[in-house]
Amino acid sequence: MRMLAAALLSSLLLALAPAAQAADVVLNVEDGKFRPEAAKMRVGDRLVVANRSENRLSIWGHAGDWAFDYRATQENGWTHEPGQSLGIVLNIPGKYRIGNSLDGKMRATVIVEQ
Amino acid sequence: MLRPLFSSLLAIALALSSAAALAADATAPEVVNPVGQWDGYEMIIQADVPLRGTLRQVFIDRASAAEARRSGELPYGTKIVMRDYIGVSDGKGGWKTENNRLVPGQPTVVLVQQKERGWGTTHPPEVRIGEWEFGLYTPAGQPIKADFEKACMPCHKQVEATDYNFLVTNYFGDIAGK
Repeated sequence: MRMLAAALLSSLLLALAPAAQAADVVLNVEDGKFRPEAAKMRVGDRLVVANRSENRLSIWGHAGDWAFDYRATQENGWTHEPGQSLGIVLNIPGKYRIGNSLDGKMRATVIVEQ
Repeated sequence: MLRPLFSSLLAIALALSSAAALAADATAPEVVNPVGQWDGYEMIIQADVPLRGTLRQVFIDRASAAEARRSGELPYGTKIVMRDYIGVSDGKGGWKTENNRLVPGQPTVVLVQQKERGWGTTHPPEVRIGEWEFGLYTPAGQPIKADFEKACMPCHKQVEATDYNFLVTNYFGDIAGK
């Protein structure tokens, strides 16, 4: 009887436990680099790129047959003004290359796991 | 009497034809117009812009795709075609998705990036991107004039290591294991 009650209680606690919360993973841009240059996140997390530099950025990401970029206005030449942070929820797993169209040397790798 | 006149006329004709040739050389070659020829292309990548609800479907001509899958590199004759769209609204202030990708709605433009041997010579070296040229069309296939040296080439110049494109060489390089 005690074991049954324990099992029921355990099931109840599991059912009431909050689902894993989606998280923000932040890549800062400073001194012409992403910091960090490698990150891991889970499907449904949001990849935030924060521009800590004085320059405009044009940030994109790509893995396999899907890509994205952070353009948020009708402006096509850049995505981030200095000081601006923008985030996109990534729902497709993969190993993403992250780059800046305005600076071909900037690179980061973000792995999105299921 | 006739010989000097003939010589003069010949000289003028040669000068005019040289000038015409120079003028022709100063004009970038025209890329293909893919509109209406979609059977010759395959879609390889969708590039979403979810914060503003636009998207781009990236195509490549089938012959170059077959070669690139083997080699991981884009051969001469490669035609990368980008079809841009406005996404479909989800009716709740966002954008409709299927398989986690934006759903294409109204088409906006068709952009072509084509590589041919000997192309690119009309552009100044600070913006020239190898032997690639660009073209822009309406969804119905009408050419649109654009200053590609300002609008496209400066950014593509940044990615010389991937043959002056952002996605396609990486896509095939990954497939070929390069």
